[in-house]
Amino acid sequence: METKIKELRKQHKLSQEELADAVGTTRQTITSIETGKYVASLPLAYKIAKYFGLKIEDVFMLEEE
Amino acid sequence: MNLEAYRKKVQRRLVWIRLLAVIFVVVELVGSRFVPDGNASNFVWGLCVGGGFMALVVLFQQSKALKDDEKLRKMYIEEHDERQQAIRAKAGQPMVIYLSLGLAMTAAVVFFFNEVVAATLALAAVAQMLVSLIVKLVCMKRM
Repeated sequence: METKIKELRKQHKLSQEELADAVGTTRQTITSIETGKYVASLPLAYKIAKYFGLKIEDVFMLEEE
Repeated sequence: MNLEAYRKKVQRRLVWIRLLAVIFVVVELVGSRFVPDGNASNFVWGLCVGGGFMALVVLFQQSKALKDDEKLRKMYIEEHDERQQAIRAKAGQPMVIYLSLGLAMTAAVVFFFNEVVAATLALAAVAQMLVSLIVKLVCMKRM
C-alpha cells in the first residue's frame, strides 16, 4: 500500500506528531504507515483522508500485483 | 474518543489494582508470620514484593493521568492505537500475561508441596512471558 501522507504533511507543514494527535493515533503508527510497514485500517485511513479534506483513494493507493 | 467513559474505566481498573496490592501485602504479612523460612516462603515473598511493586508503579502512573486530561488522552491513544493493538494481539497479550500470572500463583501454592513441580511452573510462566516479549519486540521492529 502506497500513501501520500508524507507529501500531504509537508504541504500542510505538519509534523508526524501533530497529524497523529489530530487523528487519534501515535506518531509511531504514522511513521509505519508512511514507510509502508503497516497498512492502516479503514477507519484510520478515513480519518487521515478526512483530515486532509480528500478521499481515501487520493491518499492511499493499492499496489497492483 | 470518549474521555469520560475512559476515565471511569481507569478508575475501575485502579480499584482492582488497589485490591491486588492489598492482597499482596496481606499474603506477605501472613506468610512472614506463620510460614517457616524456606524456598516456598522465599518464592511467595518474591512474588508478593514483585507484584506489589508493579501494582504501585501502575497505580502511581494511572492516578497521575487521571488528574491531567492531556496525559489521560495520551494514555487513551496509546492504549487504543490500532498498530499497538495488532502488535499486542500477535504477541498473545493479554492472554499470555493472565496465563503467566495463573501459573505463578499456582506455583506459589504448589511450592509448599512439591518444589520441583513448582519451579517448573514458575519457569514456564517466565518462559512464556519472555517469548511474548520477544515476539512483541520483533513485531514492533517489523510493523
